Order: sequence, then C-alpha cells, then structure tokens
Amino acid sequence: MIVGYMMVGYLDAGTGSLILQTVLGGAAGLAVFFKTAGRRFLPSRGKSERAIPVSERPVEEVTES
Amino acid sequence: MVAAAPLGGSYDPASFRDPLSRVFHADGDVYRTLSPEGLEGWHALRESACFTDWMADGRLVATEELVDDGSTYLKHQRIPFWSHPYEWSFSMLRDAALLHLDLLEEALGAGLTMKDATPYNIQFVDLSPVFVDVGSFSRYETGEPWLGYRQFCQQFLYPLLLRAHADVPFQPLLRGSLDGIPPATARAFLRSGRTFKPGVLLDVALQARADRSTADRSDDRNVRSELSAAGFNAEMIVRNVRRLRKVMEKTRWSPASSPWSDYASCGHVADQRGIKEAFVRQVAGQRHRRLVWDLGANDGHFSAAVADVAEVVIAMDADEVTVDNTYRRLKTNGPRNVLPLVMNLADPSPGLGWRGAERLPLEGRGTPDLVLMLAVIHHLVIGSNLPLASVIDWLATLGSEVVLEWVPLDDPMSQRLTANKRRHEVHADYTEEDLRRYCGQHFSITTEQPCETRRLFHLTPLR
Repeated sequence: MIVGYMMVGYLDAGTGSLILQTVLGGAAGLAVFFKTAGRRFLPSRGKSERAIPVSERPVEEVTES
Repeated sequence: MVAAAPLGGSYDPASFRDPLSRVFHADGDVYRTLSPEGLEGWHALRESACFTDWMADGRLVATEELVDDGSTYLKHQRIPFWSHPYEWSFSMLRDAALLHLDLLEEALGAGLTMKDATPYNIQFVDLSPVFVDVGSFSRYETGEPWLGYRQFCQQFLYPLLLRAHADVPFQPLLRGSLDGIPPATARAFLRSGRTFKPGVLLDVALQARADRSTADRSDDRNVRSELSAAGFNAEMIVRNVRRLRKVMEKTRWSPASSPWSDYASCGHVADQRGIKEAFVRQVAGQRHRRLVWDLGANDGHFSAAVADVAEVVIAMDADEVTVDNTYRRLKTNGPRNVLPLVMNLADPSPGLGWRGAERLPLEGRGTPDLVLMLAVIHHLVIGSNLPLASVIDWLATLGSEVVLEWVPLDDPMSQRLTANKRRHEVHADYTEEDLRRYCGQHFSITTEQPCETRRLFHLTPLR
C-alpha cells in the first residue's frame, strides 16, 4: 500500500508537503495548521491502544494491510 | 497504437503527463492542443495582465492562438536547442528557479496559479531562462495550496542546496531520477552544521519529518479540501514564495578552481590558440551554421569564435566549474547564442523517462551541421579507453562536418594521460595512420594543418 504520497493532478504533491505549507505561510498559515492539519502530526490512536504488543492484538488487526 | 496529432503532426514523446495540454510538432513548428479544461486555463492566462508582460520581456515562450477547423491550438516559438536540467550548471539551475518563483508570484497576483514546478518547463534561449509550458497555468481557486511546492524542492531547491552546502554535484542525481531528490535523501546530505543553512531546516528537515509523519498511517482524507475549509489562501503561498526567493539568493556556490578551470592559461593552450582559431574560423565561415556543437569546449573560446556564423553553439564540457564560469561570463559579455552545458562525452545524456523517450538523448535533439572536437580525442581514447574507430564512427552518425584536432601519443598532454598506463593498456591503433584510415571510411579530409605536435583536420561526410 502506498501511503504518505498524494497524487494531485498528475504530480505527487505529498500530504506532508501540503501541510507544511501552512507553517511556511506566515502567522495566518499557522492558524490553518493548528485548525486542521496539525491533527495529522498527532497520534491518531490513544496511547493505551498503541501500546498493545502486536502478538496480543486480534489476528484480523495484525494481518490487515 | 499512438494517436495521430492534429494538423498532420506527431505528438512530442515528452508531452503526455498532463491530460489538459499536449505538445505536438507539425511542419517543423511546435503546437499545443488543449482539452476543454486546458483551454479554460489558457484563456485565463491570455486575459491576464502578466501574459502581456511575460511575452514582452521574453520570460514566457512566444505563443499565438490558432483556430483550425473549429479547434483551438497554440503555436509556440521554436527553441533552438533543448537542454535538460541535469546538463545545467549551478548558476543556470538557480536562474531557472528564480524565474519560476517570479512567475508564480506574479501569476498569483493576477488570480492564476501554476500546477507544477519543474525545471523541465524551462529552457535557455540566448542564455536567459524561458518558461515554455503555457499549459501549467490555471485560474487560482481560493483555498488551494501550492501543489508544486514539493516538486520545486525536489527539482530546484535541493539540487542547489546540495551543491552549495555539501559540494555534491546535482547533475548525476537529477539524471538518475527525473522526479528529483526526495526530502529524506536531501536530508541525508544536509545534516549536522548544515541544518541551519538557509532553507535546510524548514524545506529539507521539516519536510522529511512531515513525510515520515504522514507515511506511517493510512490516510485517505482530502487534505486539499481540509486546507481550503480552514482558510488557506494565496497570500500564504506568496509568503512562502518570497521566503524561498530569499533562500535562493543566499544559496551560492563558490567552488575552488578545478583541474580544468585554468586550462586556458596553460602554456601549450595559449601557444596553439591562434593557429586553431584561424583554422576553425576559416572552416565555420564557409557557410551559415544553424547548430554547432563544441565538444570539450572548456572556457568556450572556440564556441565564441564561431558564434557570429551560427544560430546557436552548444559548448559542452564535463567540468561544472568551467561551465558555470563560462555561463556567467557569456551572460555578461556575450555572445549569448552560445549555450554552455555540463556533458561528459564518454557518458553523454541518454534517453530517459518513460520508454526512454521522455528526455531525449544528446543526439536526438537536432543534428549539428558542424562539430568542433579540439583537444579532446586523446581524453576519449586514452583517458576513457574508447576505441578510436568507435569515436570516429559515432561522429559519422551525426552526419556533420567536423573540425578534429589530432593529439598524438607523444604529445606532452597524451603523455600525462599514459603516465600510469602500460603501452598495452592503451588502444594499439591510436595512431595518425589509423585515424586517417577510420576517417576515410566516413569522411573526406577537406583540409588539414599542422599545429605544433598536433594536427587539425576538416572532415566532410561522404555522401
């Protein structure tokens, strides 16, 4: 599976690169970053869930790709 | 099966990625066909104030609209010689980057945007960068980020930063990957103290970090829509563009001299220049020359000598320091129809990209009508161990007249190249007798002249 890449039009604009532009766009851009895109740089799952070792997770979750 | 292009022409093999706009050639002219969406972008550009400015100052390729049988086409100015960014020197890529940033900022001011940011959309005409992809422009929609930012970094910024701060030549990297240098690769070259050089922390380190942060999670949310909804606007792109321009202006490369950058001051070169220049001028001046290749051009002295009888002269040399010095000197003093390029003749640019046809090889970009090959044959045969017969055979495939300087094995410069070779490690047929034999299979020797230990030949292809 290819993740982290974002084909826009016919080129790879990069998800991270698009989000980075908010940081590079001055104070107003930072507001946009914290409003929405910053969520992507924060953990998407709770710490307790991520802390469960792979061997202890349900089989269907481990094999999912 | 390849679709036929309009006007009885054929599509350019490098023009296929953008479904909105496609270049084709017909009767020796260059045209562009547009989809309905592409046509909309063209109309937005044509009606903007910046289009008139760019056409007037030559920063945008000269373009006129044609309507044939109800269809609209664009006809473009023909570029005399198409070069690739991996053949440019540092200053050339930097000038191209600054042009791109200037056009983008002016486009945004006119309510337009550019959908990509690649140096392959820029060509050099009379030593000035010219933007050639009219199809890159479209109307700016509020909330859209700069889609080409990543591409700009990978294909303009990182190559320049690598050269400026790590002294890594970017040409092999760009030639190795048409997409350019990924953030993580650039970061690997720009660590430790280099982190705080202009552009490295934000555009390299942070972008590489952002890549890692977004790569390890499955994420199908529409970032474009999210940014738009959160209030992203053109002013943020302009701020970024202005910041990048400052980064570019601070990114300079000051190389130490290379083994070839002071070549012209060598005693043997200065002594022979007068004789060679007279011979070259006499041959070149016999008729008007459309395209001249000067192979192993060094400081472009002989390129400049023939520039007044040629439309364009391509001065190729493998040494980037020399090419960069030549570019900057010619830009100031002229002649401006000499285009210096970084090119190793023993490993010239091949066909690259999709089906090897997206970026044409050196020989596929126009047939020269005169080739200068001065003080270079010994480097190819003795230095790179190319067979003499193969070099002459390659020259013959060009179908061009040639001025060839024969440098015998006992010449002091040949002796340098053989200093660490045993005689049997040098091709045994590197003799003037064999040279004449190989040339005789493809050329007639029109004139020849001794030049100290060397000999100059004017070769004319057998018809």
